[in-house]
Amino acid sequence: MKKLTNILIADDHQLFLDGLQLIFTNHPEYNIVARAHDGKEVLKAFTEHTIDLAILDINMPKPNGFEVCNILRKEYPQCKIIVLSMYHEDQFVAEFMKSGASAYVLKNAGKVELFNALDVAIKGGTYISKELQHYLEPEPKDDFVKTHTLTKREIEIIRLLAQEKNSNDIAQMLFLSAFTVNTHRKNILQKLGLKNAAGLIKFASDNALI
Amino acid sequence: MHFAHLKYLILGIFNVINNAQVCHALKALFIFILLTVNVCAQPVLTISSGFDNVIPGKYCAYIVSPKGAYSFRQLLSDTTIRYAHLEHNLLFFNEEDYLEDIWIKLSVTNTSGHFQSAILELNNPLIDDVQYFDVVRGNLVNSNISGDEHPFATRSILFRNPIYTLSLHPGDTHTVYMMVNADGRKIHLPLTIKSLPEFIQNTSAKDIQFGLYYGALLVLTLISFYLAYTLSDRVFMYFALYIFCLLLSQLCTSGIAFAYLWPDMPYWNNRSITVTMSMTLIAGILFARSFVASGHINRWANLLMYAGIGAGIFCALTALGNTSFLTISMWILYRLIPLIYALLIVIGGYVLLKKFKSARLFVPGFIFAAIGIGGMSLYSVNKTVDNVFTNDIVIYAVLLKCIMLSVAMFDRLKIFKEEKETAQALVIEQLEELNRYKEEVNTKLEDTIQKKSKELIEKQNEVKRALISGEEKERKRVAQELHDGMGSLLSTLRLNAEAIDLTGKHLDEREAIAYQNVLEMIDKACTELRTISHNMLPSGIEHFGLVATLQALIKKINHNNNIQFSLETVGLESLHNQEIELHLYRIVMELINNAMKHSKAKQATIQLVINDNDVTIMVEDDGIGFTVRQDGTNGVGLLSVQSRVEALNGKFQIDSRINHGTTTTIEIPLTV
Repeated sequence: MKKLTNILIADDHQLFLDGLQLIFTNHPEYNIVARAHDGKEVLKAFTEHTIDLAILDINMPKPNGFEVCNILRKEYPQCKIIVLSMYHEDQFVAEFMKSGASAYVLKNAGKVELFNALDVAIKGGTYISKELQHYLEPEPKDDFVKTHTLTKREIEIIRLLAQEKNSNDIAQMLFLSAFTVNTHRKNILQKLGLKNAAGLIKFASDNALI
Repeated sequence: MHFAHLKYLILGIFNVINNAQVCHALKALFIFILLTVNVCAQPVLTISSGFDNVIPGKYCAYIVSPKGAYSFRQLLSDTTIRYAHLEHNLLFFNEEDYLEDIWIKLSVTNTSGHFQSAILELNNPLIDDVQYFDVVRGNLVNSNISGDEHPFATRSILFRNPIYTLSLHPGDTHTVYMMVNADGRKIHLPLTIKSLPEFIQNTSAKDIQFGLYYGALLVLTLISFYLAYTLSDRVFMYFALYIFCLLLSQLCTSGIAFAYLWPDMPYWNNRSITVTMSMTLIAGILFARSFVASGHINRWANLLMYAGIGAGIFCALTALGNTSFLTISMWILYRLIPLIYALLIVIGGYVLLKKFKSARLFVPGFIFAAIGIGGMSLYSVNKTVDNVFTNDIVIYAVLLKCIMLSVAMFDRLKIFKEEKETAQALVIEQLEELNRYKEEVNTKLEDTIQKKSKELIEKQNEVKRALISGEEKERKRVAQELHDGMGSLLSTLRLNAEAIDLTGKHLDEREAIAYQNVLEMIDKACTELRTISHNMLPSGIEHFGLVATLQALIKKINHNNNIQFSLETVGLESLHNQEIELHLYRIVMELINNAMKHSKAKQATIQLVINDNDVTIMVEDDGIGFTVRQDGTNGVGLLSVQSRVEALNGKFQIDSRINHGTTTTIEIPLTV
């Protein structure tokens, strides 16, 4: 006999909660001890019951799924959290997984996948809906954002500027409008944190662009 | 022995003694004898050593007789006819001697030891009739007829003045009788005797003077006519006419006109001087009138000028009549001319005072004219041997007058030109002023229009923004409704469907498939709904910001497409404005869509950079490019981007060439 798992289900839609409860009917190993319609009710239920696992919706009113998840992680770290959401944006997945949720399951995933996720979660693993799994590919490194890379075109423009060409000359040479060239120049200065063309020339010579 | 011969003898002796410079007592004695013998004794002009331009007046004796009363023979034979002796040098007869013949007798003796030839010249070509008579060894000879009553050709020597040749052997005495008919006018007979060489010298000098004088007048006339023609200036026309008439009248008074112009027309010649002087007067008045511009002078002066012209015409016409008319005409004319010149000087002075600058040389010109007139009067009063009309003072005064007036004409032109230029400059200045004012008004107007249209565009953009914002709100509402409401419903449906316990229930194959289909269709509906709602409301922006949302979006796109986007953002983290973020997201989304649909690019770079006052979006691809149409009809996608950018008061630029990719640059101000 497996250990009985106490479950909290939370969703702001009563019908959904009913449906959810319905699919647990044939799974006696899961005991639904509490139902909540918003964040407050979730937190209240935790004070009243010992809950092993919480199935949370993101779109709950005050506090919402994120906040509830974070609170639970802090106050009830042993409790597994499974997010059952309509959202398939990877940031949501990433956010929840980061804050310690065990599984992220789409609401339309179906009974099989949900119980799959519950199993994995109880065993201490993490589960993400099949549809969303490609989002788990490694994120690009942070310094990609921080140190700004210059595009080929921008380097080309720096070179031409170093040759004392003005925007109009460059525009003609590159078949661009002067407006576009000026925007490039602005972007370059902004990217490199420079104030003016003189600084740009210095940068260019320092970095052997000219 | 004729009494007269005795007298000549005495005089001859006197002369001899005089020439020998005997003592004064002896001379006084002889004079006494002379006076006691005969008061009427006629002196003889004795020529001992050549002629020295002798004025023979005091040697002449005369008789004034009714016209045709005496014949020459009668005068010689009738001892009762006595000659009066002239007491001074000059022969001047008043008009009381009207219609009289004047007989002049002059005896000349050659006391030198050689033959001498002399010319007796009457320096007045206007004398009507001069006849010379000689007594040559007792015979009567009418040796010469001259004067302008006779055709020029009748003169024995064709010269402008009546002349008579004297040929004297040593010791000879030649007595010449002159019959002069002045046609009843006051006449002046400047009679001189010159030796032949002296005469020639004198004549040629005078000819040169005349030549220069008339030449100058002619040149002035021609120049004035030419200028009148080229400048279409009436004043020059009148001036030319004036000088021309002056020239004609001078030619008439010097006898040259008779000699060369109308030698066979003595009647006309006799009147020509009066007619031409009248014409000169008329032309002079016309010239002066147009010169000072009649507008500058008052009614009376104008009236006087018209009167002068009328009088001139009257004189010219009257002169063409018979002798008495001619006399009347001349009487009027000789009084009219000085008056008119005086009037012209006064008028000139008057307009000069009224600041009519052009008259500054006009006045001196007519002062010279007045001097010319004065010269004539002076000569006629002093009764010198010169021709009244052609003496030096008159010639130089007339010449100076004409030159002065010509200069005055040019001065007038110059002044007019200056005044015209000043006026033009003024007009130009005023036009410029007007233009400046116009420009100013235009600029103001333009500014106002620009301001207004800017305001209008701003209003339009506001409306656009409101529309877009309304649209966004509506989208958000629908998206949330779909997502939360419909989504939940579908999810619930699925849960319920799955909750149907099928264990132990036998479903035939068809039923099982139908059941599976229901589940799958619910699944599909969920996915569809999510996609729709996501497109309508990128909910990530709200929770994770634009950068993360875009990164996720691009990751997904790169995963599923050939085209690989790279995203570069600078400073977007500092942008806490969901509205702008949503705009940026929509714009980038649309540009990504365009690139995916049309560019066939392999690589595309998306850059979002926050500057001090704006944010720039730049999407560059290496695709096939296209020809950018400047009218903004570059497809619905770009149009929607453009309209959104405009609503945000941003700038939108597409640079693209076939096979050289496309760069879309957008700049949106952050102040909105």
